[in-house]
Amino acid sequence: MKKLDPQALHPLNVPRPLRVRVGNGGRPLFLYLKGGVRKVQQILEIWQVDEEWWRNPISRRYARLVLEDGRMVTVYRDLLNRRWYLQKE
Amino acid sequence: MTQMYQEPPLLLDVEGKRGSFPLSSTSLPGSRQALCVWLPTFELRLELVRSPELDATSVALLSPGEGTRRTLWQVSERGAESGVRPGQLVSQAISLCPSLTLLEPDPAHYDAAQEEMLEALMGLSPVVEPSGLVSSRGSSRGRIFMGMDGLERLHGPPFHQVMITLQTLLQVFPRPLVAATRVGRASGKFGAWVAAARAEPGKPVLVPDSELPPFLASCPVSVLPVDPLMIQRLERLGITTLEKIISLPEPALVGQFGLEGRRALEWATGRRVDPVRPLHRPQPIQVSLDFPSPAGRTETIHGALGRLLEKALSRPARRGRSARGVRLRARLEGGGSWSVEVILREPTARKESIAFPLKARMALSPPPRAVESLTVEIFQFGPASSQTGFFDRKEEGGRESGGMELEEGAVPPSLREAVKELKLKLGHSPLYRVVEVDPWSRIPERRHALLNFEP
Repeated sequence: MKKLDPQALHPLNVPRPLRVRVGNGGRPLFLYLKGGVRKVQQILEIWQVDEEWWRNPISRRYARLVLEDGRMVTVYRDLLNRRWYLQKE
Repeated sequence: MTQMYQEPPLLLDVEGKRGSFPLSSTSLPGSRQALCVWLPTFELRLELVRSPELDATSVALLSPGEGTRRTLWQVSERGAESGVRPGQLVSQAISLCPSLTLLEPDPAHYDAAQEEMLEALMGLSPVVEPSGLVSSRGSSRGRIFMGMDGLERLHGPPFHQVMITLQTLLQVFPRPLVAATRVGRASGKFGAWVAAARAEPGKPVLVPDSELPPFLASCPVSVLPVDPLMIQRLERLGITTLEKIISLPEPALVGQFGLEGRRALEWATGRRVDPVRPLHRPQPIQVSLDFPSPAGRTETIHGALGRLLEKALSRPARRGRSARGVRLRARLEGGGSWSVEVILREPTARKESIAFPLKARMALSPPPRAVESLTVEIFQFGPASSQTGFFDRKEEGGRESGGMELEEGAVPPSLREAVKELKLKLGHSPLYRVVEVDPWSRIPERRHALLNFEP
């Protein structure tokens, strides 16, 4: 573990960039995870978060997915930079 | 530099409170000869030093610690020419002077400047005392008493002492600020303060002992550090100067005003001399947290306050002492600072007992912008608390003496020892714990964070 500044708070569950192959309508089909490519079996839920428009705008479209190996993951697409992230929870 | 507007009478400061200084008994040791160094509207002048482009404009500093109905605290002379006065509502002031520039107070900056001033003056005299408590209202910043007994052979005659004092201030403040400083010298803090209040920039007022009674006699009653209601009553009765107080019989004054009446007479005659006492400053305990992103929610700040109090109270330097004065400071997003402080009625080492009044102050005077970092400072201490505090360490090996499980927050000695060894080896504690930061945030990475674990 790298040395952290003891005076600071270190956020947990920071999202990690993720490669995603999408289908029609921008729906995620495949995720390129560390263990290999995983097919999305089911999309359980989709929601959008828009926050802090007055400061540093945040606009994310989240999706809770079930992968082919049975794992559940949460990913989002940053609607400002158009990139995908794996959101740890 | 712009001249600052002063609300008459001289000792009435801009908050409407009377100038005051810590009273002391004449029997206590201290320095009888006092030098009062006073920088009126200290805070506004510091702002103008920081933003010189405002020097030629109408500027006002907003009162700290107020909610929606903000009032003015200090006003530049140009603003005063437009009819803007300290204590006015912002809406009133803007209608009088549409070009008025309003500044948010930055208490941390003012406190740091006051500290620098104290440090510099301590190099001249071993007896230096700030005037009153330095509160978040900040009315007593920029007014310092120096004990001058026995310093003639070191710094020369009184006028020379004043010049050396001003030269010393040049080490910490720019020349225009020092040029606005007023200096008075007399026996006792009251005499020195009145002398400084009557002095003009660059023209110190030095009052020898033999001339103190006539000097004081000519002063208005408003210079007395007594209840403002007493001053009002005196003025309504036509007693407008200290000379008129002296002419009154003591029993009549005591009969009307009680102990304050007697004190007023003692000050007016110059009989009462309050010596300057050396400032005793126990090293404060400070702990800070930097937020990963500016925190605007009250719940987040409350959560961080709890963590900080926990850390501050568990510091070894706190052991054997309870907290009496606690300050909560914040660095704000986009610059500036904010602070609130409480003096607890009962010194305590319980987190909840300290957090509650701080949160109440916060509710009255919330941070005006999102907070980038938060600091808790315990600056006054009381005796060791007899309460069985939440954070008191359990000395039994991981269990209470009665065989009870450890309370939440208690640290088993074995873990403490392990962290100590790791710190010795690595130079820092590599252990962290998960704390709630903003558990209701819609952004998952803002809900929890790691905080250094140092039991």
